[in-house]
Amino acid sequence: MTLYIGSKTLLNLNSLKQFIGILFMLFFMFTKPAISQTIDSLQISKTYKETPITEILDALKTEYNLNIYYKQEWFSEALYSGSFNNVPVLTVLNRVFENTQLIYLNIDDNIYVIPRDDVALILRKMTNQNNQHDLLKEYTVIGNLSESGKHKNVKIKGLVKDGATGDILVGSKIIVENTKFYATAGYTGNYVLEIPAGLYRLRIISMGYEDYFIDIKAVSPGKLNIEMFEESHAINEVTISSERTNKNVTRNQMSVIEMNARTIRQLPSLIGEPDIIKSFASMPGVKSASEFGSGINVRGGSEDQNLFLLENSPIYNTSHVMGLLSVINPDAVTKVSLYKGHIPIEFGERVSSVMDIKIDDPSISELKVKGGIGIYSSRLLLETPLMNKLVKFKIGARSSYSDFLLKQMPDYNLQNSSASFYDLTGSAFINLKNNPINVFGYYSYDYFKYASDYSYKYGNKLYSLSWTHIFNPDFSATVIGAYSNYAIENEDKQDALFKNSSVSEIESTTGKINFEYKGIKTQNFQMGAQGIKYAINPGNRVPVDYSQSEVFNSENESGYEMSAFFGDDITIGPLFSFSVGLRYTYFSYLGSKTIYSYTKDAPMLQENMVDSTSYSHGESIINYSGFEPRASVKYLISAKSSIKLSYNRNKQYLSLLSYTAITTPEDTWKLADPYLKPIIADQMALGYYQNFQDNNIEASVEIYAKKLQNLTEYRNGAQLKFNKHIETELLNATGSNYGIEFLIKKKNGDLTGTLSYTYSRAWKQTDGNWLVDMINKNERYPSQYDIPHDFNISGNYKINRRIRFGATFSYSTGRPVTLPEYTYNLGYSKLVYYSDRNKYRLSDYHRLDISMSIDESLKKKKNWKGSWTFSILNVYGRKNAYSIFYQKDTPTAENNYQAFSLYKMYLIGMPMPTVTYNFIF
Amino acid sequence: MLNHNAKINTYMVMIALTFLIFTTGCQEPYLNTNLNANEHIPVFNGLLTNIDKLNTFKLTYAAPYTQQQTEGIAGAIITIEDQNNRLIQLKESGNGVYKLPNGSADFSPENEYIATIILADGSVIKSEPIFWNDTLPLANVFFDFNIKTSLVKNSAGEYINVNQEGIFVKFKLQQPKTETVYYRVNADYYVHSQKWISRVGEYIIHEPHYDIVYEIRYDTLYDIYEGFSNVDFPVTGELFPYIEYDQSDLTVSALFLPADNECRNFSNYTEDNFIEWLIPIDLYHTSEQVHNYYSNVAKQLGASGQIFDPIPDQIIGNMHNETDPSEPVLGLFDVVSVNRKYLQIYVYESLGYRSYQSKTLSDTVIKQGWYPNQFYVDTVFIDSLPVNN
Repeated sequence: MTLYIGSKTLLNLNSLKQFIGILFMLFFMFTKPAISQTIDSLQISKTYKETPITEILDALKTEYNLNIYYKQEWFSEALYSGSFNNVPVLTVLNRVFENTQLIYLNIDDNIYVIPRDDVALILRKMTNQNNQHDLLKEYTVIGNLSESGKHKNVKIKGLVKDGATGDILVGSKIIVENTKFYATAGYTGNYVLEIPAGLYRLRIISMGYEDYFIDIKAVSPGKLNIEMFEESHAINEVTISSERTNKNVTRNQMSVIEMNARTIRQLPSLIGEPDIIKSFASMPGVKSASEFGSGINVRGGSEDQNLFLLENSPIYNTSHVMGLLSVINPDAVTKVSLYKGHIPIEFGERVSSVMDIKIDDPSISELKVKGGIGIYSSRLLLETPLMNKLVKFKIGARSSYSDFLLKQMPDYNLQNSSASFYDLTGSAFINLKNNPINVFGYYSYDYFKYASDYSYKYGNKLYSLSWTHIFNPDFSATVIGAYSNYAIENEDKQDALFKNSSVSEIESTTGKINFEYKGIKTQNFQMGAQGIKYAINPGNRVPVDYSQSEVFNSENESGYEMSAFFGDDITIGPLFSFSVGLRYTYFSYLGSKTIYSYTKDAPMLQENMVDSTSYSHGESIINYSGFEPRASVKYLISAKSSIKLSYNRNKQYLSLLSYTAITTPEDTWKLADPYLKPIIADQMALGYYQNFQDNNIEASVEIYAKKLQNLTEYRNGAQLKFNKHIETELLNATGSNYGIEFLIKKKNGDLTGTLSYTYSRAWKQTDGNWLVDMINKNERYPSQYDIPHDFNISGNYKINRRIRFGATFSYSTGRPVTLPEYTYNLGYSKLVYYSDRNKYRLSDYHRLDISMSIDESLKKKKNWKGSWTFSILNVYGRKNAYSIFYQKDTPTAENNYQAFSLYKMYLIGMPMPTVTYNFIF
Repeated sequence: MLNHNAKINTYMVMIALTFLIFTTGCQEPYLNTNLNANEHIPVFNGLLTNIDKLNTFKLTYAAPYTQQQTEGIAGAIITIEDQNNRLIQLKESGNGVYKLPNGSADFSPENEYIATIILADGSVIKSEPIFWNDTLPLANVFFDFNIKTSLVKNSAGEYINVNQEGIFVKFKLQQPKTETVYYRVNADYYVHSQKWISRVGEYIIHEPHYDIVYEIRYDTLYDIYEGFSNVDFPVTGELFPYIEYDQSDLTVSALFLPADNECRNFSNYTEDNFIEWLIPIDLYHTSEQVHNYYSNVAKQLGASGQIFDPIPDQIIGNMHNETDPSEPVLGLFDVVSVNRKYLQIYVYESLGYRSYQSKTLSDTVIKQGWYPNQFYVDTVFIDSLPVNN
């Protein structure tokens, strides 16, 4: 016979006597009046001297109007002696029953006394381990109790979903504590867990949700559906949080930053919407090139050393309007992971980082529309299930309305200028059993025009298809096809005689297959292959109207990159695990192309060209190949601390030639060729991770060192566009980056936030044999991404469930810059001679932003929910230098109309208020 | 004017972006407090031409950026050598200025020249060989009235369009037939004004029984010459034989003379005033290397805000340090043929109407003669006129 309280098993009794006793207690539970004050607040001041326990209980009942249920015969002649002075009554009861065979239960301020032996006897029979279970623990029975003892192993199946919305939670982990058993919820939210029969505690983890614990008694195969819930207060405004667990300690992966959809929504916004890519810049080791530059610099690397994958398709230009916003629609994103090092084996192509951005969302269960209205642009996203939830569909759009703002500018040229963009994002997840398919598409368009002189149009086109075949819960294969195209068109009408139009483009097609096998309990094995075909048009120029501009046709570039990889995560005991992997890459640079050769006895300049060789279409010109080993070790010191060590080598066959500190539309993508060798990076990292206060505070410190070979440096005055001899403008350099990163993150409570500090250096050095091939005489110099000190602190304080205040303060060393050092004359003109490259620095950067958010209504039945965010950027009006340049002063008679000076450009020179309205219905 | 450079596109786009996005974005002067400029970098600017007055050789040290004055280098031995190893040593005349002993008489076109400098510390600086090209034809010098629009920054720091009325002095080049031509243009000017002033003096003779007032009238001629150096950066350009140029494409503007109040205000001009501008126009036939040098200089001078920090173009001349090749030497040694023409523009005022007349002169002597308004102007020897700022 089993006694339940609600759905939980209380006791499984074998004796009628015990049953009647319990029935007796239950009778009184429903007949006795409730006490007028809560039992927790009740305090007792009494002295007992060899007082029968029953007498003590009766007195408590009478004097304090307590409901206490017991059977007289259970007490025998038990006596108690003790003195209490303002002691809580429950503590009194604990002392009274301490040396007896009885325990008590407090249910709704009613005290039920139960024989301890009976309970223990039953529990001991049920457990197959010598664990000391809490005798009062409530267990959920899996299977049929009548089959107890018939099954050695029990298979538990179930569904993990959001308890509030009903959304399935893909990827949730079901961990059996103190054992090696675990399961993972798949694409449909279902999981299968096989364990020996017995008593266990399960811990269910899902990103963005509070950990769920449940004690089970596995008797026979059965079902266990799990509902998880978010925390009741808003997530941090600026914290990029991972799961609220010790995953940062226990997982093998290091040097990673993750964000989920809910965290993305809380990111600070500059002009009306969160910027996913730039938001990573508050994390250690990651810098944004500037307040309004595209891309990020990771551990001292350039922007092109980061691979941005949007649903497996690479993005070649990540910004709208020259860096004002990123091309990613924040509403559409479900998850973002940035790997700063220890890059997973299935990724390659770049040497600094990989940002994996996911759009697909198998958890869509109902029609939702959400969007936002900002001061510069607006966005809208629709997501809905189709075909009886077989297909989960999502489509979003963003558009700007800047032309209206420009017409308000006082300058005539600006009134006749234009800067606008729009983008479309769509994905469809097809939930075929054992064969989920995801289809994705993205299109963006940017247009920038200055007066009638210049105009730029550029855009990205991305498509991908991903098909996963699940052979069984332990073995799956994923096939991916992806296409990416970035094109830019420029018109120059400043000089009437030389009006021209130019076009440049890069296109890549990727095919990838990845097998994953988890059948061996202590291993997670992965292997696969990938192929990428590149095609680049560096730039073609044609005259416009009847201009005399010379036609220039660059020779297209093409190449393919093949790779094969395998990796294994191995767990040795509960404390020690390591992963090993090897990736082999092969790159071939193809014709049709003309390759010029130069004399070896002189600098590689155009005038020293001696010969040229023509290669036909598809003919291999040069091949590069090599291994990229990856390895990492993790030692779990405790459940809250660990040490990790990793090493990886990465190769990059595609570079962005950029003559400025920040990428611009004038930059050119370039494949490795006979002169431009592939970049090779070797990185080691060591990290210590420690959590405090039950994982509420995460702390980590990581040290890294990176060596880079075959970096590109540029001659003074390099001409990168419309240059058939572009190799003569490039110099070879090596790089050396190292640093230490500190991070403290508080995840829960009314006050949450992060504090990060990074000390790092990024050096460059050329190795030219000729003076013209040397930068700074071949001495080591700081690269333009060398930021020795970088400090970020962000906090969020919750006033109530809807209103929260946020603040972010950033400080970093000014970046290196080349400045004029000397002046001299040429006739009446004053010229300057510049310093060694990157000899000086901009002034240090620091800025304070504050915000107040009124989040959406928590009423579930309310259809339209809106939220407001009010921000002030740059609260104390810091004029952070964006660049330093040399220009003509205001011409006056005193300076003979010829004076030049250094000027500092700053973008946000005063406090800038912004307001954003977001909605969902 | 006839050049095209993709780099300027980037600069202009980036300038526009600054204005475009941020009304709160701005510029302010920046002082490099960490300036570390303690090296002695020699600067040699030498120009050898067929016109003696234009030959200049100056040797200085580059000054730290925060200082305005450069320091002349004394005690250097500067020689110019031709391809036949004929050597001429320059004479030092003080403050880093060196001169040819006999002017240009010792030199001729169609030869190659190298300048060598031996500094007092023994360092040897040398130029690359420069070939002296023959002169370029300079035909049809003229002027017209027009408006010049410039983007200038006012005292409030705002960029505004400034329109100036004035005279553009132009000339026409000729289409090259076989080889690319690189040229440079400079034009100074003189203002010559004459004004007749009538003075009236009177005196009174007291006779025993009547007063007599006598009036004496006499005229005074004020003859003023003012010379101005054109401080604008020289116009440079290139002409390609394979491009078919329109006449307007071959027209080069050598000088812009903004109209001042006196020019525009009729009432200040009377029949008693004579104004003329004497404008020598120099057309240099230079080399591709020197043309590129001046183009790079123009880029540096024309840069108005490189907000994305492109790597600065270090202007490299044609001088190098033979003693220590890693040490920089700045400046340029150029050998050019100069074709000079003179344009004379004078004002004719009559019955409240004014017109401008002009003559093109190929001589440095403007002969005397009568001009409209019955002005008689003496012979003017242009070469003898000083040019002042």
